[in-house]
Amino acid sequence: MLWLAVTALLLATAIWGRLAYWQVAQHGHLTQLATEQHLTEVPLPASRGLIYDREMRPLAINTTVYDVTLAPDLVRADERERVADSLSSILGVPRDGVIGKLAAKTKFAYVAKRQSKDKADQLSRLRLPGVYLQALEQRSYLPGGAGDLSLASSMLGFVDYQGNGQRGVEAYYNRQLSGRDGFLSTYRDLAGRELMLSGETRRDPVNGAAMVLTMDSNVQFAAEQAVAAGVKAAKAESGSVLVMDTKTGGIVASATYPAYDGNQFATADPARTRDPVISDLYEPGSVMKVVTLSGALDAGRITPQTTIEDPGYVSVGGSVIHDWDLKSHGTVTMTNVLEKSLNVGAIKAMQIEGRDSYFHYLEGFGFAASSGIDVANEANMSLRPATQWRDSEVATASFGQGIAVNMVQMCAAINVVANQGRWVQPHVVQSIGGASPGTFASRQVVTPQTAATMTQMMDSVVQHGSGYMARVKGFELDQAGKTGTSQIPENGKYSPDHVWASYVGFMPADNPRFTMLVVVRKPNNGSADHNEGYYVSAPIWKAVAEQTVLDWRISPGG
Amino acid sequence: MVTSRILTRRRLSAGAPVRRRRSSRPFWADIAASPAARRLQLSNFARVYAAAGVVLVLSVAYLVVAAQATQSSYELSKLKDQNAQLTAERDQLRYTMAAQHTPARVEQEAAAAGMQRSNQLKYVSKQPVTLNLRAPLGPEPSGPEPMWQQAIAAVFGGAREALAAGS
Repeated sequence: MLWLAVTALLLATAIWGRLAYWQVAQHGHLTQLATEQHLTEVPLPASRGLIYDREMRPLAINTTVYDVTLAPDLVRADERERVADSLSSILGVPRDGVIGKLAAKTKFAYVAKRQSKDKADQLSRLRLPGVYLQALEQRSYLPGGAGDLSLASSMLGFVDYQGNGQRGVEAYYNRQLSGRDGFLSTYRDLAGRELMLSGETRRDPVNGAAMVLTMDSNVQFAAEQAVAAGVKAAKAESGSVLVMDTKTGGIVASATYPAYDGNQFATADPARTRDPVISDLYEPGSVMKVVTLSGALDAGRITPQTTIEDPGYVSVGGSVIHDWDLKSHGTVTMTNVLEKSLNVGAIKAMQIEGRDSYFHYLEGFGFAASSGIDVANEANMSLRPATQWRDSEVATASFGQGIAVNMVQMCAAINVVANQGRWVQPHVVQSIGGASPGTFASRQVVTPQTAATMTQMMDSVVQHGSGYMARVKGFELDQAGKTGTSQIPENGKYSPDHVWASYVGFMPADNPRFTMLVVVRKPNNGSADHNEGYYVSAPIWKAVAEQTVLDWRISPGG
Repeated sequence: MVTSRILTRRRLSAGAPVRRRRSSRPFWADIAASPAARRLQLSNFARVYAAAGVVLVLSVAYLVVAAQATQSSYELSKLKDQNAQLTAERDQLRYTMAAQHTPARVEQEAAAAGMQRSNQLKYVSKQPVTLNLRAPLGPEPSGPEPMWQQAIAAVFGGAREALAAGS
């Protein structure tokens, strides 16, 4: 009897132990499994905020597209031909591929992704067995100034298939634009049907904020057209135009050619999705002379009438540096230095000013730090301390070689002259969800008198100097500009053939409305002279300025 | 065994009206035990039929409720689909409208209509104006009216009206 009792006790202990294991030890895990089986969470995606230009014209909006899927096991053998023919003719997918998927008799297969609503409607009308449509929100961009580009693609960036902003404004303001997804959590029966009376947990989605940019669609379009035409005409590698509102620092247009179509980002060349205006550094060349001479003027070390001797070259720190034309210019004023873009004159002005003062102004004009523009991936090369520069390096920096900046930094620096000596932070967003994105930094760099003097000198560049090809009819006496051509460093030395050709200017000179910088990379017009900024970039500047004058109703003298 | 207390109670109650005691049983048991109920007492088969009938009624009621729930669920699903369809159409229209107004589209339409953009700016040269913009605003101070105007005004009520009437 004893052994029977012991056996029974052991069996009972085993059963109780097992029960305790499932009901106590595994309680949490089993509860979770049960919840997972019965509770279904349906995501409620938030709608991405739209993007508008300064006149509330849409730039980026949302559309619905459809993924077309197939349940091959639900298609009877005698219907496969019809289904394959229909899918092939409407979606343009290979018929044999569809037949293959249908023959596989799997439960699920993709037929095509991101199809337009028109195609989805055609498929719906056919009521094909085993064919399903899944609606998705997609970011859509508007046509741009060149055939294969969307408007402002470089500046706006794009939104990937996961709904994340990539590059440009879409990336920088991704959190504000994307909002917060919601969800609906309900119980379902064994067949997956929703139990209507079981109660539900719901969190409504919060849609992304609408965004208004400082950009002007019309100017942007004109800039895209002009830069595309200019790059093609000069057989250049690429080109960019940046237009800034003089008073506010708001970016009016930022165009690059070649760029990409934001609607076709998946098939675009990744190199083209990079915005060279923001993310590439370049050596600005003679455009930098505006900064050098402005500093020297503001420090009281030179005047526009200060004269120097220019034999066509100067020896600095053991290096001989020449003027661009390799000619002697004799006695020249500082205004002549700017008009004729003389390297020797810029070096002498910097030497007269002094190294410390020169670096002080470089910092003031915004070359010591990134511009802080609210666009993703701004490139910046920090300015080394003045003591770490060799004399020859400082000398070449005075005319814009050996110093790397991005286009936004350069345009903002020239804008100091246009804006009465005040640097204003470049920015793209005017408002988010109806509210201002915040305050933008500004600082006085040179006095208004210095800025006015430099403006006169830049006027003279257009009237008497290298800027003549940028003259806008009616504004010949009222526009300021400066050309620039800089050699591109390749494999550790400056290339004799490849240059950055640029032109910067603002107008009307006496009350500037916009400041614009054009940079064309590696023009290939057949001769060095025809690859210069005055020849390649100034006409692009002129074309955009003419259109801006019309759109903004700018009249000479006012 | 009948006790004297019971007998006493019987005697007392023989003359007095019978006072109905509250039954401890539930009311439906009383009804079931009533003569009328006894007359209606069902056979076993009838009970089975009745039970089946009750089950049938309940089943039908359940089916009706379930059908209504299914119908509501179906309609809800249909409305959700319609809503999604309308949202998609709205988005499509919004894009089409936006695309129609883009500079690219406008230029395309203009080109199709045979128009060309002229890059030749023309400015209207302003003529010198002889107006004295510094002069004070308001009507010019008028001097005393001639005697004949004053006379007409006295008769007709105002020189201007009289002249207008005569013209």
